[in-house]
Amino acid sequence: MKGTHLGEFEELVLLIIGVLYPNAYGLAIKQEIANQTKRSPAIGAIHSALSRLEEKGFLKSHLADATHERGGRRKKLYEITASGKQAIEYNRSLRNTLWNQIPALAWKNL
Amino acid sequence: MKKYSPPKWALSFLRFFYKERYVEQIEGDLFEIFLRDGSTRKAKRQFGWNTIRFFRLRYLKGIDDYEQLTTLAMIKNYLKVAIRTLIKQKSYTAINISGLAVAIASTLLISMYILHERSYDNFYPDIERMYRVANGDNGRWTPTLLAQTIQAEIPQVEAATKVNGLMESFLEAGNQGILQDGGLWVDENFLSVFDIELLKGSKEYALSEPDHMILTETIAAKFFPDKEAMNEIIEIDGDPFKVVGIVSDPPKNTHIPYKYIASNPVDPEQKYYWSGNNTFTYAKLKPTARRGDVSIMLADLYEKKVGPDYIAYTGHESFEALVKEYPNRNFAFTLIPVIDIHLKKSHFTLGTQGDAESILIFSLIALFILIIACINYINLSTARSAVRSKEVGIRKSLGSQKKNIILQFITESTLITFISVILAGLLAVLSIKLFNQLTQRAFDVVDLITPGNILVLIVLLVFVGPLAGSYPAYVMSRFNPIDALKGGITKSGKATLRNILVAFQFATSVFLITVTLVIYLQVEYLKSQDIGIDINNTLVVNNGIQLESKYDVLKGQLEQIPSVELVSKASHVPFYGFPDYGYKVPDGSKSFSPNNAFLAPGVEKMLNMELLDGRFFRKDFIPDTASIIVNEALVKELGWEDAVGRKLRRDNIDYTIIGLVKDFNFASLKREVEPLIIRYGWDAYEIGIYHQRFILVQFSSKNLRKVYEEVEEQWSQISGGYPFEARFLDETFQLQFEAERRFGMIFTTFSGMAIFIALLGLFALTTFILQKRFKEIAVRKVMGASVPSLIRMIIKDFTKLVLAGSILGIGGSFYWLDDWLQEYSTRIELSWYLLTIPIAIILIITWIVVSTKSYKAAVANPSKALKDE
Repeated sequence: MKGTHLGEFEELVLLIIGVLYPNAYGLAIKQEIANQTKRSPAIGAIHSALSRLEEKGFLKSHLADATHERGGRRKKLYEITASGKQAIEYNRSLRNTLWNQIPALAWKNL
Repeated sequence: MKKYSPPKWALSFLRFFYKERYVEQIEGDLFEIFLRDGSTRKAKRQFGWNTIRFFRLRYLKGIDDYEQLTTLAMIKNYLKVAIRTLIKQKSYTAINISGLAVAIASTLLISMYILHERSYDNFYPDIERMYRVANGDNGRWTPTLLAQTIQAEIPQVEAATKVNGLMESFLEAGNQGILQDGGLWVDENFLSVFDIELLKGSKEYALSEPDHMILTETIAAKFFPDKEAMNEIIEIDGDPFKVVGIVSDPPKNTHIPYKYIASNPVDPEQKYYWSGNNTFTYAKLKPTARRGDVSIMLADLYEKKVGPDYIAYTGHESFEALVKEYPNRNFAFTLIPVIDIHLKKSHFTLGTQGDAESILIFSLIALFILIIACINYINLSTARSAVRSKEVGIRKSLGSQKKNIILQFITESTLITFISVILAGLLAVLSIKLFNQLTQRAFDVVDLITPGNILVLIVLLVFVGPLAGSYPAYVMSRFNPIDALKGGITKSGKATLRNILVAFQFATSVFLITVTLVIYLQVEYLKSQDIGIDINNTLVVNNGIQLESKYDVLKGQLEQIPSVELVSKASHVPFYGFPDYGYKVPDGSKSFSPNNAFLAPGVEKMLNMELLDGRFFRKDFIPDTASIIVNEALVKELGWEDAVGRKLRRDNIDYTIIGLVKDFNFASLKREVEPLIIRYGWDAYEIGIYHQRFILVQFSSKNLRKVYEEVEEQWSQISGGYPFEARFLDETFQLQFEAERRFGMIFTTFSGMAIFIALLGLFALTTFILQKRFKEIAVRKVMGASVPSLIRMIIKDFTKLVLAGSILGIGGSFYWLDDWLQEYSTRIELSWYLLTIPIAIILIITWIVVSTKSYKAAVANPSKALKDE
């Protein structure tokens, strides 16, 4: 099902939004990703991931008050929706299931 | 450290390209980054770079972002308001649309006409090397042997053909017989010179025999509606011809509009004279040939071939002596490009003549009408602007921008143009018949669809509409809303320019009225001239030759009809065209070519010719075959004191002058009476068959139709089925004014249009001036001015304009008419009363329009005008 598939970067963004709750917005997400993963995605990439996720229904957003440091622009704060939660949970359980199925022997020679 | 702010271009870039709902987020984040980086120069660069990195399909505006709400809704709103305004101001809209529609319709028709006229003969693939061979500079007729001689003797000539026509003949096939025009008589080279392909039949074989003919599709279908025309026999004036080919109808823009082609080769048995000019010659040069070289060879050929025959006839010692005596004549054959025939050398055409001058007149008229209509449009709209200044004021205070107001007015003008274009199309289609009459062409509705016309329409719709609307739109959009609401804005545009334009319109109207009037008066004057003979009550029957000896039977029968007084015959009849024959004074001192006609005894009585000296011919008096009667003009030309008893020589026969007639007009009232020799018309047809080409019937009855029918009945009984063709002599006389009549019609039509459009301009100006002086009129009225005095005040201004324009128009028309009248030997004088009539007409029309308009303003309640402040 294409509409609900989560890409790796999208999953990361979704998780970070959860971590930052309730203050997740574009730039904060970028910084958190930088802090946690040492990756530095372009701000444009974050924005497009956010709008993709919103279109898929995994995120909802509302506008906060304007602040000075944003040149009078309002922040758009994101939250995870129920179906967003379902999507990351699905990914997580899929991963766990797969983990559990790996025989211990597989790690033996590492 | 210096604080930088984010680059402006980047912000505009964002707003321009990116969807509105994303812009705020993107900008906010970029600002935060910028601040975090310390508002440095580097941060500023970074800001720009980041902006560009957002350039992703997802954020870009799509079609639906542009057609969002505002624009689409505004266009809808512009249209709605435009339609409402047009409906509200009905008279203004009607005037505007009708003015433009008339102008566009005439432009469409005229551009179609010009395109057609300029396209003549351009469909021949080898047109640039096709020439007509002229005799001298302008002689249409050439010797019969010319075509075959130049083909044989001038190597640069690829092919040459001799052509005669177009002729009207009696065509008979099966039991169907009709008088058919458009007969072209040619030799076997015709098809290759003109590159004509046959639809059926072989090009090589088609004109190889003297009894072959080719039909156009139309004629083939006419004569053989339900069978194959090929190999059928058609009798042309009694001689059988075999149909050996079918061609498609020639295009409308050909100077040879033939309907059938008959073979007419040079007869090897017959002796032809180089001094006799009986045929037209066309030549196609080889692609490598130079026109100049061929011209020199043609001049040599003339001297070598025509020279000896010519001096034998004129009696000069040598060709050089002949050339010396007539230094103004070009004794040579010359080349006329076929492409030039229709417009530049139109007397060479075999179809209807074109006229380069009328093309120029037409183009100027079209241009003039179109420009005036556009100017009128602007005048009318600016005149309306004062009325609409409040609307503009309200729109502006409610937040309309300059752009919106301009667009509103442009929408209105485009809508008007659009409706006008549709109406103009209808008008053009409806008037195409009248236009055909004016121009003597056969245009169809489909001919209106030319690339030129499509271009005209596109230009009108795309440019003229918006352009005509843009000036008033610009003026009005600049109104200060406060002034506009106060009603204080009345000035718009310069009045001087408007005055000049309106005066110019009057000038044109007066010009056209004067020209129309003078043409009319001149034609009436010509018609009222005493032509010297009685042309009433005479019916002229054509094709008398067909009767042969049965003429006597017909004559006897006709004389039985009570209303018929006299029947006679003639080789030529006044106003049908007389040929000229060469004569010499017997002592050889002078040779000349007077007009020549053979009249049977009785014609002189019928036409009531006045004898000044001597006598007329006697009936059945054989010695009179060597007698001639001459007119005064001939005596004058020869410088004689008297004429009777003198002799003139032709073909070695001396003719004795037995009578002198008073000059009478027999050709055209445009020219002086020319020298004329009347010869004895034989009664016996065996000798004088050509003397009975026309049968003249004089009658006393007033019932012309009955006379015509009675003569026709006798003809049909005796002629053996040959069609009856006759016309009253006075009717033929009137026909010579056909060109003037058409010319007059063209001018009447266009004066009507020009006056119509000028009236629109007048209307606009009146409206404008009244609005401008609205308050002034009110104040005057309050102070006690009467309504008539107010109207007089307004009229005074216009009278000045009319007079100024009229002087210009009269001057122009007199200058032109003086030139035009020079063509006529008898003509009217351009006198003072001609000055007054057009001016009076225009003045009266102006007064009517202006006073009705100003009456309304003058009787209005002054408090209405004054309470505004």
